[in-house]
Amino acid sequence: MKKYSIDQLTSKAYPINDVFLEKLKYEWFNEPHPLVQSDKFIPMADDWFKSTKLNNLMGWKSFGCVDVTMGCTHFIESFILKYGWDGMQVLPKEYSYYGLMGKHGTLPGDLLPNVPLIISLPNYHYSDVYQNWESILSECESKNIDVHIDFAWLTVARDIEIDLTHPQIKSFAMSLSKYSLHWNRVGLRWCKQRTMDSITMFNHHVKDVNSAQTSCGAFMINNISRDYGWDTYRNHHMNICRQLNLTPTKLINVAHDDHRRPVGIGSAISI
Amino acid sequence: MTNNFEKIKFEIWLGCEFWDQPPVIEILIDNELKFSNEMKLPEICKIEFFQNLAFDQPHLLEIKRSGKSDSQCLVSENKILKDQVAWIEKIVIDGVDVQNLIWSQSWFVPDYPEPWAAEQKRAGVELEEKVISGTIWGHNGIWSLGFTSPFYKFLFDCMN
Repeated sequence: MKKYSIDQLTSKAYPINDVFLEKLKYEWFNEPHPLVQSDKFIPMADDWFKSTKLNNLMGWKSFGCVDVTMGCTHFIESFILKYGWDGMQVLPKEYSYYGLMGKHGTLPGDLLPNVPLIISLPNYHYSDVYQNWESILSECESKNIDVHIDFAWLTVARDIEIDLTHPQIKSFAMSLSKYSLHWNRVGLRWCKQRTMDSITMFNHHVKDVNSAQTSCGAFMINNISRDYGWDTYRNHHMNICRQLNLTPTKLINVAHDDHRRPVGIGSAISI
Repeated sequence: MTNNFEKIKFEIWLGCEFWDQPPVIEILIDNELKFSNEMKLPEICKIEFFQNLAFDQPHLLEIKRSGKSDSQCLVSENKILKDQVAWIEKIVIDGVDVQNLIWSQSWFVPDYPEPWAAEQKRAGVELEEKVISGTIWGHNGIWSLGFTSPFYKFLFDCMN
Protein backbone atom coordinates (compact mmCIF):
# COMPACT_ATOMS: atom_id res chain seq x y z
CA MET A 1 0.00 0.00 0.00
CA LYS A 2 1.26 3.45 -0.91
CA LYS A 3 2.50 5.49 2.06
CA TYR A 4 1.41 9.08 2.30
CA SER A 5 2.86 11.99 4.24
CA ILE A 6 1.34 15.20 5.48
CA ASP A 7 3.65 17.13 3.12
CA GLN A 8 1.66 15.81 0.17
CA LEU A 9 -1.51 17.58 1.26
CA THR A 10 -2.27 20.87 -0.43
CA SER A 11 -4.33 23.86 0.56
CA LYS A 12 -5.64 24.01 -3.01
CA ALA A 13 -7.71 21.18 -4.44
CA TYR A 14 -5.56 20.13 -7.37
CA PRO A 15 -7.33 17.75 -9.72
CA ILE A 16 -6.38 14.14 -10.33
CA ASN A 17 -3.56 14.24 -12.85
CA ASP A 18 -2.18 10.80 -13.55
CA VAL A 19 -0.23 8.94 -16.21
CA PHE A 20 -3.41 8.00 -18.04
CA LEU A 21 -4.70 11.58 -18.29
CA GLU A 22 -1.23 12.83 -19.27
CA LYS A 23 -1.10 10.16 -21.97
CA LEU A 24 -4.42 11.35 -23.38
CA LYS A 25 -3.12 14.89 -23.44
CA TYR A 26 -0.01 13.72 -25.28
CA GLU A 27 -2.13 11.79 -27.82
CA TRP A 28 -4.35 14.79 -28.37
CA PHE A 29 -1.39 16.97 -29.29
CA ASN A 30 0.54 14.37 -31.26
CA GLU A 31 -1.99 12.34 -33.22
CA PRO A 32 -4.62 13.26 -35.82
CA HIS A 33 -8.22 13.53 -34.61
CA PRO A 34 -11.57 13.99 -36.32
CA LEU A 35 -13.33 17.32 -36.28
CA VAL A 36 -16.29 17.24 -33.88
CA GLN A 37 -18.44 20.35 -34.06
CA SER A 38 -20.94 21.41 -31.45
CA ASP A 39 -23.97 19.72 -33.08
CA LYS A 40 -22.24 16.36 -32.63
CA PHE A 41 -20.55 17.23 -29.37
CA ILE A 42 -23.70 18.26 -27.51
CA PRO A 43 -25.55 14.91 -27.59
CA MET A 44 -22.29 13.06 -26.99
CA ALA A 45 -21.40 15.12 -23.92
CA ASP A 46 -25.01 15.15 -22.72
CA ASP A 47 -24.98 11.33 -22.64
CA TRP A 48 -21.57 11.30 -20.96
CA PHE A 49 -22.55 13.65 -18.14
CA LYS A 50 -25.78 11.73 -17.57
CA SER A 51 -24.01 8.38 -17.46
CA THR A 52 -22.76 8.76 -13.88
CA LYS A 53 -23.59 5.75 -11.75
CA LEU A 54 -22.40 7.39 -8.54
CA ASN A 55 -24.68 10.42 -8.48
CA ASN A 56 -28.39 10.83 -8.92
CA LEU A 57 -29.74 13.88 -10.71
CA MET A 58 -33.46 13.76 -11.29
CA GLY A 59 -35.37 15.85 -13.80
CA TRP A 60 -32.94 16.38 -16.67
CA LYS A 61 -35.87 16.23 -19.05
CA SER A 62 -37.11 19.62 -17.87
CA PHE A 63 -33.97 21.18 -19.31
CA GLY A 64 -34.43 20.84 -23.04
CA CYS A 65 -32.16 23.69 -24.14
CA VAL A 66 -28.53 22.51 -24.18
CA ASP A 67 -25.57 24.61 -25.29
CA VAL A 68 -21.77 24.30 -25.37
CA THR A 69 -19.75 26.39 -22.94
CA MET A 70 -16.09 27.12 -22.43
CA GLY A 71 -16.41 25.49 -19.02
CA CYS A 72 -18.33 26.46 -15.92
CA THR A 73 -16.57 29.81 -15.57
CA HIS A 74 -18.10 30.75 -18.93
CA PHE A 75 -21.48 29.79 -17.46
CA ILE A 76 -20.80 32.07 -14.49
CA GLU A 77 -19.59 34.94 -16.64
CA SER A 78 -22.52 34.65 -19.01
CA PHE A 79 -24.84 34.74 -16.00
CA ILE A 80 -23.11 37.80 -14.54
CA LEU A 81 -23.10 39.58 -17.88
CA LYS A 82 -26.84 39.00 -18.12
CA TYR A 83 -27.83 40.08 -14.62
CA GLY A 84 -24.99 42.43 -13.66
CA TRP A 85 -22.53 42.19 -10.78
CA ASP A 86 -25.06 43.86 -8.48
CA GLY A 87 -27.99 42.00 -9.97
CA MET A 88 -27.04 38.52 -8.74
CA GLN A 89 -26.15 36.88 -5.43
CA VAL A 90 -24.03 34.04 -4.10
CA LEU A 91 -23.89 32.23 -0.77
CA PRO A 92 -20.92 32.42 1.63
CA LYS A 93 -17.97 30.03 1.12
CA GLU A 94 -18.47 29.99 -2.61
CA TYR A 95 -15.99 29.63 -5.48
CA SER A 96 -13.15 32.08 -4.76
CA TYR A 97 -13.74 33.70 -8.16
CA TYR A 98 -16.52 35.79 -6.60
CA GLY A 99 -14.72 36.83 -3.44
CA LEU A 100 -11.51 37.76 -5.27
CA MET A 101 -13.48 40.34 -7.22
CA GLY A 102 -15.32 41.63 -4.19
CA LYS A 103 -18.58 39.74 -4.43
CA HIS A 104 -19.38 38.50 -0.96
CA GLY A 105 -21.87 35.90 0.09
CA THR A 106 -25.37 36.45 1.42
CA LEU A 107 -26.40 34.16 4.27
CA PRO A 108 -29.30 31.78 3.78
CA GLY A 109 -32.29 33.46 5.37
CA ASP A 110 -31.10 36.86 4.18
CA LEU A 111 -31.27 36.22 0.43
CA LEU A 112 -32.54 39.19 -1.54
CA PRO A 113 -35.96 38.74 -3.15
CA ASN A 114 -36.14 38.66 -6.96
CA VAL A 115 -32.32 38.56 -7.33
CA PRO A 116 -31.05 35.40 -9.05
CA LEU A 117 -28.71 33.11 -7.13
CA ILE A 118 -25.81 31.17 -8.60
CA ILE A 119 -24.62 28.28 -6.47
CA SER A 120 -21.87 25.67 -6.66
CA LEU A 121 -23.03 22.09 -6.11
CA PRO A 122 -21.30 20.27 -4.66
CA ASN A 123 -19.58 23.07 -2.83
CA TYR A 124 -15.80 22.66 -2.49
CA HIS A 125 -15.70 23.91 1.10
CA TYR A 126 -18.29 21.39 2.31
CA SER A 127 -17.36 18.85 -0.38
CA ASP A 128 -21.06 18.14 -0.56
CA VAL A 129 -24.29 19.98 -1.25
CA TYR A 130 -25.24 22.58 1.34
CA GLN A 131 -26.67 20.88 4.43
CA ASN A 132 -29.69 23.17 4.28
CA TRP A 133 -30.14 22.87 0.52
CA GLU A 134 -33.86 22.17 0.80
CA SER A 135 -34.47 25.20 3.01
CA ILE A 136 -32.40 27.36 0.62
CA LEU A 137 -34.65 26.22 -2.21
CA SER A 138 -37.74 26.95 -0.12
CA GLU A 139 -36.44 30.43 0.64
CA CYS A 140 -35.78 30.97 -3.06
CA GLU A 141 -39.29 29.86 -3.88
CA SER A 142 -40.88 32.16 -1.31
CA LYS A 143 -38.73 35.12 -2.44
CA ASN A 144 -39.04 34.53 -6.18
CA ILE A 145 -35.31 33.88 -6.59
CA ASP A 146 -34.21 32.00 -9.70
CA VAL A 147 -31.49 29.42 -9.02
CA HIS A 148 -28.64 28.60 -11.42
CA ILE A 149 -26.35 25.71 -10.48
CA ASP A 150 -22.64 25.46 -11.19
CA PHE A 151 -21.98 21.69 -11.20
CA ALA A 152 -18.24 22.07 -11.91
CA TRP A 153 -17.33 19.62 -9.14
CA LEU A 154 -19.90 17.01 -10.00
CA THR A 155 -17.63 15.13 -12.39
CA VAL A 156 -15.37 14.17 -9.45
CA ALA A 157 -18.19 13.63 -6.93
CA ARG A 158 -20.08 10.64 -5.57
CA ASP A 159 -23.38 10.24 -3.75
CA ILE A 160 -24.78 13.60 -4.80
CA GLU A 161 -28.53 13.60 -5.21
CA ILE A 162 -30.33 16.62 -6.62
CA ASP A 163 -33.89 17.01 -7.83
CA LEU A 164 -33.67 19.38 -10.77
CA THR A 165 -37.43 19.57 -11.20
CA HIS A 166 -37.71 22.25 -8.52
CA PRO A 167 -39.43 25.22 -10.20
CA GLN A 168 -36.81 27.74 -9.04
CA ILE A 169 -33.94 25.91 -10.77
CA LYS A 170 -33.63 27.57 -14.17
CA SER A 171 -30.27 26.40 -15.49
CA PHE A 172 -27.15 24.45 -14.64
CA ALA A 173 -23.76 23.70 -16.14
CA MET A 174 -21.09 20.98 -16.03
CA SER A 175 -17.63 20.77 -17.50
CA LEU A 176 -14.80 18.33 -18.13
CA SER A 177 -12.16 20.50 -16.48
CA LYS A 178 -11.90 18.61 -13.21
CA TYR A 179 -10.20 15.70 -15.01
CA SER A 180 -7.10 17.85 -15.52
CA LEU A 181 -8.62 19.33 -18.65
CA HIS A 182 -8.31 22.92 -17.53
CA TRP A 183 -6.13 23.43 -20.62
CA ASN A 184 -9.20 22.78 -22.79
CA ARG A 185 -12.20 24.11 -20.93
CA VAL A 186 -15.40 22.79 -22.42
CA GLY A 187 -18.77 21.82 -21.02
CA LEU A 188 -22.52 22.14 -21.41
CA ARG A 189 -25.21 24.41 -20.07
CA TRP A 190 -28.75 23.12 -19.69
CA CYS A 191 -31.68 25.50 -19.26
CA LYS A 192 -35.43 25.26 -19.19
CA GLN A 193 -35.79 28.25 -21.47
CA ARG A 194 -33.07 29.83 -23.55
CA THR A 195 -32.53 33.55 -23.09
CA MET A 196 -30.27 36.02 -24.83
CA ASP A 197 -26.88 35.90 -23.16
CA SER A 198 -23.24 35.21 -23.93
CA ILE A 199 -23.67 31.42 -24.19
CA THR A 200 -26.70 31.76 -26.46
CA MET A 201 -24.73 34.07 -28.75
CA PHE A 202 -21.75 31.74 -28.66
CA ASN A 203 -23.95 28.82 -29.76
CA HIS A 204 -26.63 30.32 -31.96
CA HIS A 205 -25.27 33.40 -33.61
CA VAL A 206 -21.76 32.53 -34.69
CA LYS A 207 -21.72 28.94 -35.91
CA ASP A 208 -18.97 26.40 -35.34
CA VAL A 209 -16.94 28.49 -32.94
CA ASN A 210 -14.27 26.70 -30.93
CA SER A 211 -14.52 23.42 -32.81
CA ALA A 212 -10.97 22.64 -31.63
CA GLN A 213 -12.34 22.76 -28.11
CA THR A 214 -15.33 20.49 -28.85
CA SER A 215 -13.18 18.08 -30.88
CA CYS A 216 -10.79 17.73 -27.96
CA GLY A 217 -13.70 17.38 -25.54
CA ALA A 218 -15.15 14.59 -27.69
CA PHE A 219 -11.79 12.81 -27.74
CA MET A 220 -11.57 13.00 -23.96
CA ILE A 221 -15.08 11.73 -23.21
CA ASN A 222 -14.52 8.88 -25.66
CA ASN A 223 -11.55 7.86 -23.54
CA ILE A 224 -12.42 8.82 -19.97
CA SER A 225 -15.27 7.07 -18.21
CA ARG A 226 -17.69 9.43 -16.49
CA ASP A 227 -16.86 8.28 -12.96
CA TYR A 228 -13.17 7.74 -13.70
CA GLY A 229 -11.97 9.54 -10.57
CA TRP A 230 -13.86 7.46 -8.01
CA ASP A 231 -13.69 4.25 -10.05
CA THR A 232 -9.90 4.54 -10.15
CA TYR A 233 -8.97 6.21 -6.88
CA ARG A 234 -11.60 5.21 -4.32
CA ASN A 235 -9.14 3.01 -2.39
CA HIS A 236 -6.43 5.65 -2.56
CA HIS A 237 -8.86 8.25 -1.21
CA MET A 238 -9.77 6.00 1.72
CA ASN A 239 -6.15 4.99 2.38
CA ILE A 240 -4.78 8.52 2.56
CA CYS A 241 -7.60 9.48 4.90
CA ARG A 242 -6.89 6.48 7.13
CA GLN A 243 -3.14 7.10 7.20
CA LEU A 244 -3.28 10.87 7.80
CA ASN A 245 -6.32 10.92 10.05
CA LEU A 246 -8.48 12.76 7.52
CA THR A 247 -12.18 12.42 6.83
CA PRO A 248 -13.22 11.14 3.39
CA THR A 249 -15.52 13.43 1.42
CA LYS A 250 -17.70 13.13 -1.65
CA LEU A 251 -15.02 14.74 -3.86
CA ILE A 252 -12.25 12.42 -4.99
CA ASN A 253 -9.50 15.01 -4.63
CA VAL A 254 -10.61 16.58 -1.35
CA ALA A 255 -10.54 15.31 2.25
CA HIS A 256 -11.38 17.12 5.48
CA ASP A 257 -9.01 17.67 8.37
CA ASP A 258 -10.09 17.36 11.99
CA HIS A 259 -11.42 20.93 11.89
CA ARG A 260 -13.61 19.99 8.92
CA ARG A 261 -11.48 22.16 6.64
CA PRO A 262 -10.93 20.93 3.07
CA VAL A 263 -7.44 19.77 2.10
CA GLY A 264 -6.30 18.80 -1.36
CA ILE A 265 -5.29 15.18 -1.90
CA GLY A 266 -5.47 15.06 -5.71
CA SER A 267 -1.74 15.37 -6.24
CA ALA A 268 -0.95 12.79 -3.57
CA ILE A 269 -3.23 10.04 -4.81
CA SER A 270 -2.65 10.44 -8.56
CA ILE A 271 -0.51 7.63 -10.02
CA MET B 1 -38.26 17.74 -23.44
CA THR B 2 -38.63 21.15 -25.02
CA ASN B 3 -41.71 23.31 -24.69
CA ASN B 4 -43.25 24.88 -27.76
CA PHE B 5 -43.71 28.14 -25.91
CA GLU B 6 -41.73 30.37 -23.59
CA LYS B 7 -42.69 32.46 -20.59
CA ILE B 8 -41.30 35.92 -21.11
CA LYS B 9 -41.09 38.84 -18.71
CA PHE B 10 -42.01 42.30 -19.98
CA GLU B 11 -40.95 45.44 -18.12
CA ILE B 12 -42.28 48.74 -19.43
CA TRP B 13 -41.45 52.20 -18.11
CA LEU B 14 -43.78 55.01 -19.18
CA GLY B 15 -43.63 58.72 -18.52
CA CYS B 16 -46.23 61.47 -18.79
CA GLU B 17 -46.96 65.16 -18.36
CA PHE B 18 -50.40 66.64 -17.79
CA TRP B 19 -52.00 69.54 -16.00
CA ASP B 20 -55.61 68.39 -15.71
CA GLN B 21 -56.61 64.88 -16.73
CA PRO B 22 -54.04 62.06 -16.85
CA PRO B 23 -53.41 59.93 -19.93
CA VAL B 24 -54.95 56.46 -19.81
CA ILE B 25 -52.85 53.47 -20.78
CA GLU B 26 -53.82 49.98 -21.81
CA ILE B 27 -51.18 47.35 -22.61
CA LEU B 28 -52.04 44.28 -24.65
CA ILE B 29 -50.16 41.32 -26.02
CA ASP B 30 -51.82 39.47 -28.84
CA ASN B 31 -55.06 41.24 -27.88
CA GLU B 32 -54.85 40.03 -24.27
CA LEU B 33 -55.15 42.95 -21.84
CA LYS B 34 -52.21 43.00 -19.40
CA PHE B 35 -52.59 46.46 -17.86
CA SER B 36 -55.13 49.27 -17.83
CA ASN B 37 -54.96 52.41 -15.74
CA GLU B 38 -54.58 56.16 -15.59
CA MET B 39 -51.03 57.43 -15.40
CA LYS B 40 -49.79 59.28 -12.33
CA LEU B 41 -47.37 62.10 -11.69
CA PRO B 42 -44.55 62.72 -11.15
CA GLU B 43 -42.77 59.39 -11.20
CA ILE B 44 -42.05 57.17 -14.18
CA CYS B 45 -44.53 54.32 -14.07
CA LYS B 46 -43.13 50.78 -14.32
CA ILE B 47 -45.41 47.97 -15.44
CA GLU B 48 -44.26 44.37 -15.47
CA PHE B 49 -45.92 41.11 -16.36
CA PHE B 50 -45.24 37.69 -17.84
CA GLN B 51 -46.70 36.25 -20.99
CA ASN B 52 -46.56 32.77 -22.51
CA LEU B 53 -45.58 33.09 -26.16
CA ALA B 54 -46.02 30.28 -28.67
CA PHE B 55 -42.92 29.58 -30.73
CA ASP B 56 -42.76 30.46 -34.41
CA GLN B 57 -45.79 32.72 -34.23
CA PRO B 58 -46.04 36.47 -34.80
CA HIS B 59 -46.77 38.40 -31.61
CA LEU B 60 -47.84 41.98 -31.06
CA LEU B 61 -47.21 44.23 -28.08
CA GLU B 62 -49.58 47.19 -28.13
CA ILE B 63 -49.87 50.25 -25.91
CA LYS B 64 -53.12 52.13 -26.31
CA ARG B 65 -52.87 55.72 -25.18
CA SER B 66 -56.15 57.54 -24.59
CA GLY B 67 -57.67 60.11 -22.27
CA LYS B 68 -56.79 63.18 -24.25
CA SER B 69 -59.62 65.48 -25.29
CA ASP B 70 -59.36 68.90 -26.93
CA SER B 71 -59.62 70.55 -23.54
CA GLN B 72 -56.31 69.02 -22.41
CA CYS B 73 -54.27 71.06 -24.87
CA LEU B 74 -54.37 74.81 -24.27
CA VAL B 75 -53.11 76.90 -27.17
CA SER B 76 -52.66 80.65 -27.37
CA GLU B 77 -51.28 82.48 -30.38
CA ASN B 78 -50.17 79.18 -31.93
CA LYS B 79 -48.22 78.26 -28.86
CA ILE B 80 -49.03 75.30 -26.64
CA LEU B 81 -49.37 76.57 -23.10
CA LYS B 82 -50.51 73.38 -21.38
CA ASP B 83 -50.67 69.87 -22.73
CA GLN B 84 -51.06 66.21 -21.97
CA VAL B 85 -48.26 63.96 -23.28
CA ALA B 86 -47.24 60.34 -22.63
CA TRP B 87 -44.11 58.50 -23.73
CA ILE B 88 -42.15 55.29 -23.53
CA GLU B 89 -39.17 55.68 -21.25
CA LYS B 90 -37.80 52.14 -21.66
CA ILE B 91 -38.91 48.60 -22.49
CA VAL B 92 -37.08 45.48 -21.32
CA ILE B 93 -38.14 42.11 -22.73
CA ASP B 94 -36.62 38.93 -21.31
CA GLY B 95 -33.94 41.00 -19.60
CA VAL B 96 -32.96 42.86 -22.78
CA ASP B 97 -33.42 46.62 -23.18
CA VAL B 98 -35.03 46.71 -26.63
CA GLN B 99 -34.33 50.36 -27.46
CA ASN B 100 -32.85 49.41 -30.83
CA LEU B 101 -35.91 47.32 -31.68
CA ILE B 102 -38.20 50.18 -30.76
CA TRP B 103 -36.37 52.44 -33.16
CA SER B 104 -36.47 49.99 -36.02
CA GLN B 105 -39.53 47.78 -35.47
CA SER B 106 -42.22 49.81 -33.72
CA TRP B 107 -44.83 52.25 -34.94
CA PHE B 108 -47.50 54.55 -33.56
CA VAL B 109 -50.88 55.08 -35.23
CA PRO B 110 -52.23 58.41 -33.95
CA ASP B 111 -55.92 59.04 -33.54
CA TYR B 112 -55.98 62.66 -34.64
CA PRO B 113 -58.79 64.76 -33.16
CA GLU B 114 -61.39 66.43 -35.30
CA PRO B 115 -61.88 69.05 -36.49
CA TRP B 116 -58.17 69.70 -35.99
CA ALA B 117 -57.14 66.95 -38.44
CA ALA B 118 -59.46 68.28 -41.16
CA GLU B 119 -58.13 71.78 -40.63
CA GLN B 120 -54.59 70.53 -41.04
CA LYS B 121 -55.53 68.77 -44.25
CA ARG B 122 -57.15 71.90 -45.64
CA ALA B 123 -54.03 73.84 -44.76
CA GLY B 124 -51.96 71.36 -46.77
CA VAL B 125 -50.36 69.64 -43.78
CA GLU B 126 -50.12 65.91 -44.35
CA LEU B 127 -50.54 64.06 -41.10
CA GLU B 128 -48.70 60.75 -40.85
CA GLU B 129 -50.98 57.75 -40.54
CA LYS B 130 -48.22 55.63 -39.08
CA VAL B 131 -45.27 57.15 -37.23
CA ILE B 132 -42.32 54.76 -37.35
CA SER B 133 -40.68 54.41 -33.93
CA GLY B 134 -42.99 57.09 -32.51
CA THR B 135 -42.59 56.84 -28.75
CA ILE B 136 -43.73 60.31 -27.61
CA TRP B 137 -47.47 60.52 -27.82
CA GLY B 138 -49.08 63.92 -28.04
CA HIS B 139 -52.22 62.38 -29.52
CA ASN B 140 -54.28 59.40 -28.54
CA GLY B 141 -53.41 56.31 -30.54
CA ILE B 142 -51.88 52.86 -30.53
CA TRP B 143 -48.18 52.07 -30.37
CA SER B 144 -47.20 48.60 -31.61
CA LEU B 145 -44.15 46.35 -31.62
CA GLY B 146 -44.26 43.15 -33.63
CA PHE B 147 -41.96 40.25 -32.77
CA THR B 148 -41.70 36.48 -32.88
CA SER B 149 -40.77 33.77 -30.42
CA PRO B 150 -38.32 32.35 -29.26
CA PHE B 151 -37.42 35.90 -28.40
CA TYR B 152 -33.65 35.34 -28.48
CA LYS B 153 -33.98 34.15 -32.10
CA PHE B 154 -35.99 37.23 -32.98
CA LEU B 155 -33.18 39.38 -31.58
CA PHE B 156 -30.67 37.56 -33.79
CA ASP B 157 -32.91 37.98 -36.83
CA CYS B 158 -33.17 41.71 -36.19
CA MET B 159 -29.38 42.01 -36.05
CA ASN B 160 -28.95 40.65 -39.56
